[in-house]
Amino acid sequence: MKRKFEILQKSTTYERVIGVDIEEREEIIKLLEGNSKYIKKFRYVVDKILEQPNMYFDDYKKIRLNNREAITEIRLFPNGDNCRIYCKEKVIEGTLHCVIMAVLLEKKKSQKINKAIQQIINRIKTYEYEL
Amino acid sequence: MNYEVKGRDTQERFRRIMNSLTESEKIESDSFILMSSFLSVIEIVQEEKGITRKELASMIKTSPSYLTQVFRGDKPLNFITLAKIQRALGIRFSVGLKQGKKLPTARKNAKLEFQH
Repeated sequence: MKRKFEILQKSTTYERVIGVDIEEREEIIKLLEGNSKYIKKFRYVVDKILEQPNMYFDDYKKIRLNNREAITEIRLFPNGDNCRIYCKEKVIEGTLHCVIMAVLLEKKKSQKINKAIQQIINRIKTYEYEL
Repeated sequence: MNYEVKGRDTQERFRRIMNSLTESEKIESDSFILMSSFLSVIEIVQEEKGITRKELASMIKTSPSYLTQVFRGDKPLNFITLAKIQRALGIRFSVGLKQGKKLPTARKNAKLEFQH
């Protein structure tokens, strides 16, 4: 499925960007707007993704489904919330590594991948992003 | 392709949100980001040496859950803990300044290096 995304921030160190799905943009940006705890955590995650040599860590992980790496997720836990942003990675023109925030799940209830999350993952896997 | 032009409004809005913290919140947030540079190097060395977080915690006589909170950016990393990790991993950090924003390679732009 063809989807559009926009770049939110570029790395100053590597050929990396973080972007957002245009259709999900409002929901994701609104989560951060006016919420300093989310912003602080998000700044940390974004710096890790964009500026550090190893972008994967506890709160930005690859998700495996049926023993295959499917998509990635950003985990945000301020206020005890269990919020996830499911992402898809894409390389443009062979060099630019894009981390695209695709779907927001505001309150993930269990640590396991249940049916609803599996559906989200399967949906994102079909997304073919373009700018 | 011009990546800059597309999504400029969203980029601007995102930049404003990221900068909407108070001065003290920004400093706190920056301190965690600074800490992340050290943690990234530690993670690389751990991976090279095959040392798990649990093992590292045991080597520096702290709990794995404390280290997890530190690596997640939820708790500050103090210099005592950093010195313990440095000693446990047999490395030595050296600090430099980040130069310009458009240096050609990541290596020249490195802020933090370590020696085995």
